[in-house]
Amino acid sequence: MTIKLKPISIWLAVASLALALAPQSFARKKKQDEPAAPRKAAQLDHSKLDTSRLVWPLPPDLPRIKFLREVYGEDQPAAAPGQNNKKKQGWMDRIAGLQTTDNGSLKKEFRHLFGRPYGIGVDSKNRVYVADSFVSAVFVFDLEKHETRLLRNGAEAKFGTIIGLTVDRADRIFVVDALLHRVAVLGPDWKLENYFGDDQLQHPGGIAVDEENRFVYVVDTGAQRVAVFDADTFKFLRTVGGPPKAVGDDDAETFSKPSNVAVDSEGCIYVTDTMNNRVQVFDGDGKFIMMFGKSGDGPGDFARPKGIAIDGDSHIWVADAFTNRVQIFDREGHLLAFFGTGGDLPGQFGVPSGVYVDRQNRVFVTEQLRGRMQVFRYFTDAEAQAMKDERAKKTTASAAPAAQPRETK
Amino acid sequence: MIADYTMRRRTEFAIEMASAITVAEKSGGLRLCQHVHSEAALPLPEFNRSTETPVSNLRRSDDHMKKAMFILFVMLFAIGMASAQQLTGDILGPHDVNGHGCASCHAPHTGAQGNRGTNAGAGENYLWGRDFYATTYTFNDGSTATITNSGAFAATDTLFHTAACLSCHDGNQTQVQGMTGLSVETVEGGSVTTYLNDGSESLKNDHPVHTVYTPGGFNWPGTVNADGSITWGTDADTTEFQKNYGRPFRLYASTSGPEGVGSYVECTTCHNPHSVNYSKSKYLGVTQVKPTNFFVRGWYNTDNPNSNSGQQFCRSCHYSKSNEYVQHYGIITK
Repeated sequence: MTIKLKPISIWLAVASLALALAPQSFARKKKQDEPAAPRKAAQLDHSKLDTSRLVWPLPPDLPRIKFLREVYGEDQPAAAPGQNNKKKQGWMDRIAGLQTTDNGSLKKEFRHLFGRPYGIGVDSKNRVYVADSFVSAVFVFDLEKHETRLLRNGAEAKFGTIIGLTVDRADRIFVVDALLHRVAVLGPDWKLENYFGDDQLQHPGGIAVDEENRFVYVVDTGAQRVAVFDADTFKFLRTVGGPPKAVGDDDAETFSKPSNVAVDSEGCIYVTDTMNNRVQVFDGDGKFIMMFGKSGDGPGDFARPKGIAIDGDSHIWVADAFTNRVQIFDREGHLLAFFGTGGDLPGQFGVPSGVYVDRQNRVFVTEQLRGRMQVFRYFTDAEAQAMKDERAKKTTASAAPAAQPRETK
Repeated sequence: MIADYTMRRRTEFAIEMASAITVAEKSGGLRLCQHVHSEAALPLPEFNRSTETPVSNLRRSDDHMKKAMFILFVMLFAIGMASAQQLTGDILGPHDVNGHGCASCHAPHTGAQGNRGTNAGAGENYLWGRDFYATTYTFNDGSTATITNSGAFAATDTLFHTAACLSCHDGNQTQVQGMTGLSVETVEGGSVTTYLNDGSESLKNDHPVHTVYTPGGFNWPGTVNADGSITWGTDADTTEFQKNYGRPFRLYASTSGPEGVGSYVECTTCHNPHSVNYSKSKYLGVTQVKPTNFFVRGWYNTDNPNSNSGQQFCRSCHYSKSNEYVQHYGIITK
């Protein structure tokens, strides 16, 4: 333990030295002047973290994203005391459901942990659904009660490789099966209602439902286009976009292995054009509107964008699988913020795949590398304004104007 | 004497290659010889006859040696032609996704400016504040640590060599994932498919990755150095295996990770994502180019039903399962 804490103390010492030397310029030039901080997240003790203070951007800026919790699979306690045990566990054990017991008890637990979680949905009863292609099951979480149910392959439905998932307002669960190239529809009672799309889809991925226009959008990664179905009859209607006409063709409306789709409040669809490293936007008739993003590792650039979601303020959240971060854009495609880096800690990602924002502006992100889902809270523009007002009230109330020292010690 | 021995081994290799090519031509399966010119392939039947000559005679007789030398050159030429002509596309193969080349996997460095903003030096292009380049972690005792958000795993991080692969191989981006159970290995009494995968695309039954190599595992006659490189022993078995097949895999050294300090097995331990059909590796110090499949890092010719290169590749790590380990030196990789 003492060894693990060592880099932190070094960091603290160096940071305090830097603060003492250049108190004014530190905040501005922090990025450039940052000493060789221990980036290796694994060296930080996961279980000793106080995650309640994990926010982005860093103070003194107003927090817009707050970490809530992380879930590794079935029935995970809210706090993270047992995570050290879990980290030592090999992924083979996780498949087998073998569990290292906490606090030395001999009680054998048998739980399913995430393998390759991807698509996420939340129903009206606040239950969270996660499709896992590795376990071949949909995890159903009641995050408040710490209860988990599994909708399994062979029990509730037949699943091949399940990727995308969404839940509509009637609590129907749509599960996209890449291997069997179809969509399974489960009712609110988790009973199988229908399969559709197997005659149209080649190798589908993400899915989204347009409640107003009654469309189901399924991204066909294999056929490199978006298939549109009727949300009630599941009849195939049309396609949006198409594959490149020649090698290297990246014109608008052509896709290179697109993966996910999101629908905004006006019925526009946002498609992550994964291998073209951009997001393409179409209206409800399938007419091309705009696209943004290019290949790269800078802010606003993409390297394998996958999951996409729209928040309550119509911002676009995109998970980037290679650069292990989630970026938030406004409706014009301008970058608002990004957070995350490669790693195991809360707020870090290992190959993020699915993103979902629910009606309470909770943001769910699934990761393929470790098999984890993280939950964040997005503070809306209105909430941020309220926070700002409150902060202004406080500063005027206290006579001395706050110097706003940085949090870093 | 040693030179003679090496020559014999090489001649035998040429013989094996010749018969392999003939067999494959009949079945039309071997990619190696798809484009071999008929004149280059002509000497093959004659050469096959010479296999009936006992190897010991080859070594004693100068005439036979000359003949063997000539045939060897013809063979090398034929193999060279085949190798040269097989390459119809880039060796990236399917990893050149829709013509994106290197950017199919690597993110070009595009700096801090992002998709808006004018100040490339500072991140002033975000509307929600500036400091997204770091995350401050608070501990239960009140201390903090700030970690730079550097994005992708650094190439020095062993996880990079798995995370980069999984960023596409998720069952969605990739239509048919590697290791789909299609490869056939020849065993005594017949051929079986490898059970590295259950045939689905979920990487379910695959060989585990990001696991640490246990010192002494698989009876390795060598030591794994701190940087992940391996110093092999010099005993006869090891030398024989090195000569016969080489040791094409790579380990990745790490100071962290689930098992702590050690040398890790990642996806790229066995796969070279940059070359789909060719592997270039050292066979006891001699660099050779061999046919391969599925971006496997070593000689892995599953197109040839008589090839034992598939199991030899596995044995380059799982050494205790090899012929050489039980001192059967006569079974040559082909």
